[in-house]
Amino acid sequence: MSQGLVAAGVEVLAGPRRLLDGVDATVAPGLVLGVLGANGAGKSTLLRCLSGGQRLHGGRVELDGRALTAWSAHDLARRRAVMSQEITLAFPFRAAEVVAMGRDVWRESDRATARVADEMLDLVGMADCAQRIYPTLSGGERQRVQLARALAQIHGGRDPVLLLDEPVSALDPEHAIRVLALIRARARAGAAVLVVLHDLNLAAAFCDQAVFLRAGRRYAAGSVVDLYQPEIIAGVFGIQASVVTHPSGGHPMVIPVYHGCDTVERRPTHALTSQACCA
Amino acid sequence: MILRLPRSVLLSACAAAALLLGIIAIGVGPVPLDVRAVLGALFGDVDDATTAIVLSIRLPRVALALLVGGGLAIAGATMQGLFRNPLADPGLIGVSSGAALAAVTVIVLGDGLFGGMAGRFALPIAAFAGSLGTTWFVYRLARFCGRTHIATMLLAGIAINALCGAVIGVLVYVANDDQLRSLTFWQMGSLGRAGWPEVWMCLAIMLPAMIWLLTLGRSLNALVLGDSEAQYLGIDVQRCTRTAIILCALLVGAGVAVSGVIGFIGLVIPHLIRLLIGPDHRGVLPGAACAGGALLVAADMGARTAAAPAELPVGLLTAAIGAPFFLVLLLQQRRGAV
Amino acid sequence: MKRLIALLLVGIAMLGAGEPRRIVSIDPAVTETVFQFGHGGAVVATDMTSTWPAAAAALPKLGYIRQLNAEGIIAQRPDLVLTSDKLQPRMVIEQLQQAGITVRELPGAADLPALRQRLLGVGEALGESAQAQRLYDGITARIDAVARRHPAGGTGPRVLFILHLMGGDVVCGGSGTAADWLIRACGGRNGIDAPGYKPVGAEALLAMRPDVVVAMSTGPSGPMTRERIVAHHALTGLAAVQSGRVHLVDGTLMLGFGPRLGEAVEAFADLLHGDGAAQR
Repeated sequence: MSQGLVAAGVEVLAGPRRLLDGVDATVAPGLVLGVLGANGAGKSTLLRCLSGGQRLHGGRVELDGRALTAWSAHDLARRRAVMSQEITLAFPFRAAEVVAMGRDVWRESDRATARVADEMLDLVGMADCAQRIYPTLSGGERQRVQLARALAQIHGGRDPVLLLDEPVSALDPEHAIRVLALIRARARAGAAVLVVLHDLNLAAAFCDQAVFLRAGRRYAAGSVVDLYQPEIIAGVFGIQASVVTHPSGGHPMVIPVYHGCDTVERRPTHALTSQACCA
Repeated sequence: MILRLPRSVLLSACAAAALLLGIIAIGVGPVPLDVRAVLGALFGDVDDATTAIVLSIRLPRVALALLVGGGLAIAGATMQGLFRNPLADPGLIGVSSGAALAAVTVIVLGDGLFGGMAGRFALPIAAFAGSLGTTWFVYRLARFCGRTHIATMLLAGIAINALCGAVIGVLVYVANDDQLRSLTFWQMGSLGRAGWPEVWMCLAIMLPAMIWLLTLGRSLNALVLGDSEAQYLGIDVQRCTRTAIILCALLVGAGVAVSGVIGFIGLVIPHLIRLLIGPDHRGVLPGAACAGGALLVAADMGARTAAAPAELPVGLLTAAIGAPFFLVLLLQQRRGAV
Repeated sequence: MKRLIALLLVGIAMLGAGEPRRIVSIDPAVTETVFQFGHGGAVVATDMTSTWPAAAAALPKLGYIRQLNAEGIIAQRPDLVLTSDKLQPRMVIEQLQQAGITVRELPGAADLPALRQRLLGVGEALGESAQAQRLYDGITARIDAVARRHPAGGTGPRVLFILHLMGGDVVCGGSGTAADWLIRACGGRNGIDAPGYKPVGAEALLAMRPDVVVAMSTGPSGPMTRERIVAHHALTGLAAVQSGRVHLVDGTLMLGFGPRLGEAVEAFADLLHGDGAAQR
């Protein structure tokens, strides 16, 4: 059994600024770990440290008890896949070609690669767009293609690790839920998953555990149920919120108090031309 | 619009075009020769003049055009992948003029620095060093944090071209009349100096470099996603980048050393190939190599015959075709179509 | 007398047998020499700058001497190529020889030893050695006569020799050039010390205070006129220009260093000293 991906006391400096200061995190097989925090708290930096794309100024990151720096790029690529934010391409690759790049490390036949690519695009609901040109896709469509690429990379591999940086930031609610459910299913099938999210409620619904970062430090970590307390939410994000339990899911839900929002009573006017309304 | 022809179809077509143009080019020139005379010269039963025309004038020239054209095109395609931008071209971003400047410096000051004998080897070595230095410089300058800044890249190219122009201007001032003519040759590009020694030198340097580059297709595809993404996909990014830069510098340096600055082939050809089969480097690299050779053979044929029996610098022809093409590319990019 | 004539006839017949029938001449001085020796009829093509005599100018042109293509020369089916060491690329000579063509390469420098080898070399190739020696002796005699009249160094007029006015630059003949040799041969002093043909700035021109301004009548920027010189911002203030001591000369004659060098030196000496002496 894999020991997963472990970060201990990670430090990253950028000039005089400390981007990360002694952060611990464990991405364990079978679970989804959410990383949350305000803008600039160090979420993406932590993800880069765990993926091996960032030089550490202190601490260590190990996969299965072996330091990441001791892994070759090739061996590491067969174990873990990374999805970064906002990937643009200057060349007109097709969606299916981009997904197929994820399979390069497996050195398999073009036909086998194409089959996996089609399967992954289908999983993220992009099967119809396989032949479209990547740079012409919308932001949400690109995000799903990149997720398909990451999934393709670890498809069929042993003890996979999946690191995702805001995978649903540009997705509509339907696709966001579909994608996060897909990711959770991967974890249940044995993958170790880390996902950086901004939406507290989506995180509560789909993550098993969470790390809250504030100004480069780990503010709190633990199970979602333990972490979602009004004081902790206020400490991490600086907002007042009440925490309730989701009526059907049973997981916590955050309902923020909106300051500066006008308090005039709003009633439905029945003048809207909404189909749902009429039905 | 991208046609997406099957890779094998395009590669066979490009290779066939290069071969066919090569054969035609051996038959075309100020001295009219029919097929029988050309074959006779190749297999040895015609007069000295015909033999000399075919074997020691046209054949090395065609061979050199194929090599240099192919080398420049494949180097252009590689740089575009590395810089993640379809506007990178050895001539445009200053690499060719860096190589030419180094070579010209050796011509003008070389006798004092190296003595007569070393000059023969000093020239290609200097051209290589010049192209390596400028490629590295522009690469470092244009890319930070794993992203390519196209404006920085093109501005660096302008600056390097201007700097080389200025230094060449100084060299013009100290050069004697003979050296002056050589300088002009370097700046305009010509295959008129093609002899067998040049062909063998190019073959020895460029063929291995081109074959090596062909093996980097997958890695270049991954690099298009970004440095870190390529790393995540299992590519040894540093080694791959370094290898690609050195190989490009070798190709451009060797090309400049024998033929001066021939621009725009590295820009036009990869773009055309991408329009025909898509951006996958596993197809673009070999396609560019064949089509680049074919284009330079054709352009050189034009250079030899347009003003016959005198000849035009072939670099002027490629620039005349390439510069408008570049403008179209820029306009397209402005409209966000690239 | 009869024996002499007989000998001469035999000699001509012998020379005639080995005489080249199709000559390509690549170098203006060499071309002039070939025509001077009366072999112009055998010349089938020349380089671009061989424009004297008129018959040579009318022949097919094979391009610039520094950028030749061997095949263009071979296409003229010559049995002899006469040229100078200015020819580029050097590989062309080898390619011509491989095609079975005799190539005679002569020194191209602008000085008397090179001129001598040039004339004698062409003479030898055409079987006109005696005539070549006579021609050379004639030229040196005329040069010596001019030198006796106008000894070099000291007090001769200061000369500015303008090659062309391309791009607003005044490009002048400095030391080591044919123009410099000509000025010295005529007892003048060259205003420019720097080696080679160099662009010279307006201030340097004023400081030089040339007594005479000489310019080539044709150049890369089109035919030169007196008006262009007078109107040029860097030249208009010169005393020599204001007093009208501006001369246009035929570049192929003055700087050609061919068989007409004697004539060139005499004509140039007249320019420098003729009106100059009258005004002084």
